[in-house]
Amino acid sequence: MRLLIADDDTVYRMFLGRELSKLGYEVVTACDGAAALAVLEDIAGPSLAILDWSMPEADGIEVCRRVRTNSGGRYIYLLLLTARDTPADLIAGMGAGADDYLTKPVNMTELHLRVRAGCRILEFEERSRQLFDDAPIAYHEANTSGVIVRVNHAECRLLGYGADEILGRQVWDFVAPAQVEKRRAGFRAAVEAPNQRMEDTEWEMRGRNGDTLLVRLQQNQVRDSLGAVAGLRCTMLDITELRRQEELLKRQAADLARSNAELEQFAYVASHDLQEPLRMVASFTQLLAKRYAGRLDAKADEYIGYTVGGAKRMQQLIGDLLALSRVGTNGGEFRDVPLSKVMSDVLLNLGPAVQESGAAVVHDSLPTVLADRGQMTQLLQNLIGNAIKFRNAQLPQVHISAEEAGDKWIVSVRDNGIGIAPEHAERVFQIFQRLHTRDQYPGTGIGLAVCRKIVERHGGKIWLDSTPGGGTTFHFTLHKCASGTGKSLR
Amino acid sequence: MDEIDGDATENGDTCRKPPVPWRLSGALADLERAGESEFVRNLIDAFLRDTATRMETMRKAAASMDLDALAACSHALKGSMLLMSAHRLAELCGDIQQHAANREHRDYLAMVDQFDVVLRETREAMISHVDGLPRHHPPTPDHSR
Repeated sequence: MRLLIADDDTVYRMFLGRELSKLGYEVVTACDGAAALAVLEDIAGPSLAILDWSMPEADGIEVCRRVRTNSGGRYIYLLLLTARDTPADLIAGMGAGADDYLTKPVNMTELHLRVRAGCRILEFEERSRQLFDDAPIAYHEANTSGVIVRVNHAECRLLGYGADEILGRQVWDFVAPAQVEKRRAGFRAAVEAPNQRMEDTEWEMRGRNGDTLLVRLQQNQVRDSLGAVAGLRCTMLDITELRRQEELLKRQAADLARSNAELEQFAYVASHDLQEPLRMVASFTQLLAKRYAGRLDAKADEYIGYTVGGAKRMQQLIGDLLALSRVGTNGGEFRDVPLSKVMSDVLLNLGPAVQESGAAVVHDSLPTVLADRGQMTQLLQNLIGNAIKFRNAQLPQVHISAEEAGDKWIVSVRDNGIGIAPEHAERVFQIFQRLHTRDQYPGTGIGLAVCRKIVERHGGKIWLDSTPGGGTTFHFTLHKCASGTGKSLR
Repeated sequence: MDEIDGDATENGDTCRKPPVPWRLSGALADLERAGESEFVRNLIDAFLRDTATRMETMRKAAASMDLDALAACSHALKGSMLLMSAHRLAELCGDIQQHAANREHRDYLAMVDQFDVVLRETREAMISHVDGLPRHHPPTPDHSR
């Protein structure tokens, strides 16, 4: 630590210098007030000064006053050392800006302890200064007139100015011309506000090269030790790029939504309009098969068979595509839907398949959820239908259960079927993705895509746990009903 | 206050001997005990040089009855007198400072003369002490700005 000893008394200067050097301080001396000021006004000068009161050129009081006025943001700890020992002297000394006051003849132990106390304050001040200067966010302090008295490196970089070009100017000098008056009024209001911290606001700033920067400004009052507002401390976060990206994202989201809507509309119209000619093709090929079977040659019968089969598959495909597009476009309102009642409908619809396969479909107590009832029927019907369809040699066993998870329900459909390899766990939810040939398991590859679309329309997600050969459990989440848990009995 | 060169007896009385103008004590004695005789020598040299100059300033102020200057000069001298354990001189400075600051009508030249007499005695005592000190190094220069 470098410190200054300013005393016109050679003996005192020598004695204090010697003693403090021995304690490890780097000592600079000055023999009058003018010399002391010259040392302290140097930005690299000592940060702690021991000042004699009575000195030629400028006395210790004057040095204190001038240091406090001109130190340019650098804090200098001032210890006044004098033979004056009345309370009035102490008040005058501290009033001039001294941090501490010690009377002659000096007790070296006491002086050293006071210098150490000063050093502790300076270390803390230095840490605060470094934090301020090196903070990654732009930061400045302004007095109550709006004059910037401190500014950090990040703000200089943001605006493209040097600190010397910012200090001494007013905060509204750096906002876009159209906002100057508003900024001035906002600053004044923040200084006069009863609360220390203000709402964040957004401003257009003008950088050195004329660029407009959008910043989020946070203002806090700086108060002195008596609680009076001494100015504002402002942080500025550059949100120019953030806003640009947000705008871009908004535009992309809107484009995507429009594109999806158009695609859905296209799928709906295309599949709907295809139905009629396809129905005609299917009807007449079936009629052809019925009328002319055995009357043409064997090859003709085979070709007619392929045509009938193809037309049927296409009808199935178009029907499923329509169902998929209708999830988004023809969905019903969300109401409280007891899943136990949905299960009754599903079991009724799947009655023939259940009977034919000998499946056992059971469910636990199921909750009431906020959902589109028709789509809940379709969802559970697809999942249970799959559980029956993708069975192995054992009789199918399907178990439906539900458990609470915060504000949602997790509904699970577990089977003992052929299972799904982990690498296909995502793929099965994509449209037209099939893991088996039609000969092994019939279908269009749309069922689980419909399930995912329904769940996502309800704000939930769907996933599966499975072991090949060990069965599959599909899980999906749904919002609880408006009235709470809504658990119903089986 | 006179320098008392004597030891306290068991009943608290002191054996009065003629007062000595200066004797090494306090911070200077601590320095010498710590083996810093050379620095003590330099301090005494500086003190004697500095005081001679200030003595002249004080005499001029007393002759012209510039009481503000007299008070300021005697105040400035008092600090180093105390540091150098020159208590008698410090006391005389204190008296001059107090009377001058109160703007009392006094024979300040006589007071300065009295101060000068004690200063000479003190100087002799200091030089005598310094002459008895071992010399190790050349005096340390003062690099004040």
